[in-house]
Amino acid sequence: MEVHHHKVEKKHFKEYFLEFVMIFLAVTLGFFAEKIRENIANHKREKEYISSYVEDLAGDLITNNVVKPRMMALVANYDSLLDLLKTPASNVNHLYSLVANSNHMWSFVRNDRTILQIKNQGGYSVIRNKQLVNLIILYDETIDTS
Amino acid sequence: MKYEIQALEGIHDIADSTIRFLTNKYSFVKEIELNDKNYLQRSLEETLLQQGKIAFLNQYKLFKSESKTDEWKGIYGVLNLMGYDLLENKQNAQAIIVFQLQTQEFPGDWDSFDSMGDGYAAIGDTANAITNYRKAFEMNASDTISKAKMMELEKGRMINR
Repeated sequence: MEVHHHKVEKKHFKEYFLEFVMIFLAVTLGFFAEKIRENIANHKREKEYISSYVEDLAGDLITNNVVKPRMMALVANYDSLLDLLKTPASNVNHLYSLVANSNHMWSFVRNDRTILQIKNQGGYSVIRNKQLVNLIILYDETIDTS
Repeated sequence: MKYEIQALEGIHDIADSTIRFLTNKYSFVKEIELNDKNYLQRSLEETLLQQGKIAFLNQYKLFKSESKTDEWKGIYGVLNLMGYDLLENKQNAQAIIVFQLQTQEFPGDWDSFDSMGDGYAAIGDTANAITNYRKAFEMNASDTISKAKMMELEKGRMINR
């Protein structure tokens, strides 16, 4: 029986090179496509963080505007109370009302929905503007230390 | 306490400058309608206006039961702002509901009664307005504003909040 042997054609260097280039291009393009997709997703997340952070800050300003004058009134109340306590013949009713009104504490509570997301989801890495990152950290630290 | 007031000033300045920075830097921030109400206020106000008093009080109780104590400390400011916001928008009946809740929740706070007086004054209920201003003044002798408003109403004059 006659056996046919298939002839194996020897590949030229050019063909190997072409295959290499094609595989290299496919992998490289895939890599860039993934990077582009990731960038688009990160930009979207960055925009969402910034939008919601601005809303939180606007709310904080209002809370601040409510709490601050009331704390100042409380300080004035304490001052009057101290003055009155130094006076030998104090007006008892006035004293009573000052004591009653000193028993109210005001505290500033921030809107923390966005900062919690930024911290828990690694959001700092998607905010490209470093000045903004610094401002966010500064605000966070100022509230934590107050 | 004075240190806390200074800290609040610092917080205010950073928040303010961050908003300015973001508004200048990002065009989409300019398009955001910055709501000067926090989530709690927005939500309670919408419920009161759209679903009425009972739904509002139920939602308030729900929020209260779910909130941490620290968070809930801010509720006085929320109710107060909400009441005056409704008065500004001529939704006086709803404002009265909010101020009533405020006086029930904070019976020891003279300012609640001053606000209640403002609410009644807005709907022309002079008798109740005077009663509440008097109560505010009796609770806080240094509250000359409530006293002045009370005296104006007693003389039959209109008052400005």
